[in-house]
Amino acid sequence: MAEKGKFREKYNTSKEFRATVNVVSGTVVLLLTLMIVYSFMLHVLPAAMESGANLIPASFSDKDDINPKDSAGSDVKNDIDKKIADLQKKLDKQLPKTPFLVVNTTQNKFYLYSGKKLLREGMCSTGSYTLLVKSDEKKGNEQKWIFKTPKGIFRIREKKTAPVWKKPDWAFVEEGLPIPSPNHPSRFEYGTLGDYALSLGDGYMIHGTLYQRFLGMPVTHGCIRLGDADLEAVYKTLSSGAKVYIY
Amino acid sequence: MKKTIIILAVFFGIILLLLGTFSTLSLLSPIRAIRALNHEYSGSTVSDAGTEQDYHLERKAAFLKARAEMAESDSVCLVIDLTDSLVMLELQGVMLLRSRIAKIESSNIFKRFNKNTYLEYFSRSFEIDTDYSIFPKEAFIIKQAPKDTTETAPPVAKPDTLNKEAVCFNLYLDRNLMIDIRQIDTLKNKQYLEYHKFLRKERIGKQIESLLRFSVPEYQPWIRIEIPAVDVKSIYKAMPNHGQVAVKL
Repeated sequence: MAEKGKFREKYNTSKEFRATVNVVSGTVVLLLTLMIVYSFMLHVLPAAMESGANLIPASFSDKDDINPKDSAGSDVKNDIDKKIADLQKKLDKQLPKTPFLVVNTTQNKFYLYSGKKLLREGMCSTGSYTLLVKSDEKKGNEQKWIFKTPKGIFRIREKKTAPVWKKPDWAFVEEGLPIPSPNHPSRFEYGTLGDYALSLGDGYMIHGTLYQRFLGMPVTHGCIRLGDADLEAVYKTLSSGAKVYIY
Repeated sequence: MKKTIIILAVFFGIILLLLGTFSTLSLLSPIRAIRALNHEYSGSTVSDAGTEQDYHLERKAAFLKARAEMAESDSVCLVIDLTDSLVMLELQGVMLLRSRIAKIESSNIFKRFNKNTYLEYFSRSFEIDTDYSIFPKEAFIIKQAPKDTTETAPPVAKPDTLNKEAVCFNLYLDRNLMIDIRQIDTLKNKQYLEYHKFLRKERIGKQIESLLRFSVPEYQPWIRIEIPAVDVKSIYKAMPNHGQVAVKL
């Protein structure tokens, strides 16, 4: 009887063991299959997609195969040449007739051009992308200022020598000072803007700086700051109405 | 045992059959795309350029035409000239930025375009439908105004952390073209891998959806270029949301 019980126990254990092995191996096979399918989708199918294009013969050869003599003097060539010349002329016509300035606000660099000729390039400082927030707990309101250099095409509206900076409200808010009346003497600062200033409108200017070490970095309140020598060159080269491209 | 082997064989048979079908459908994808494009532009008004030289001049004209069109808008436009390995930003025909391309990769499909398809496809500017980028277009720092002068902080400029970042972005254009612009030797850090995973998920999700319906997945022609990281950032930050792009292959 006891032997029979032992046999049954052994048999049952072996049956359970086999079932467990089956489940584990089944899961492993399923996982492996899923992994294969996944990597197939990830790598093989995109490759197959790219290879598919190779099944069709190429329609045109690369430029190395061109023989310039092929079309020498042909009417078609003359027509296309004229078309190209007209289109190029149309594009060139867009170039400003007077010198202009290009400002890259990401790299904080400026480029002074006359037509297609680069006259001068250098570092500048543009908007810091700061959002200044002033919360008034008593009144329960909030004032915000965004210090960002505007992008687009601008024109030089006004040229000034020895400019005086009339400090806007944010200049006081930023320093934790009370905002004075619009024409209060504390609003007028001499020498801060350098020797020259070129107005772009809406309070934005191209001017000098006391913080020359920050040139090449985004630190301004929206204006474009230049080093002393660059500012002088820009001031002397750009006339009123000259275009400034900011991007 | 025999039963298990049969089940496994059937299972793998089905899997292999599915994978085979998916591969065939994937192979057919660009072929169908080329046929569709060639068919769409076959009735073009572009003159059938006679010689190879004429054809290359026509391509130049098509590129100039697209740029001239873009020059009429007030927005910054992207110009990609793969023939001269140049990427430019233009605003009303004025070149704002010019960057030399270090590496170019593109779909094989472009070489299978017939001449008219090429000229028609590239003679108009593309418009950006959507874009994805690893870095933000505009990142603002929020600064609380000090209550008085004792709280005022002196001006501080943070150094540019550009070199430590992976810099790339993708433009999805109308006419189903995708442009991938990335820094030279893209830094494959965690940020990049996550971005790449996100894009792959988007792409493969669409493909699997088609394949599960046993239909040919849509093929998207693509161009991948590598330029200096500072230029990648400048271009992405300068481009408007639905900006225009001109391409010359």
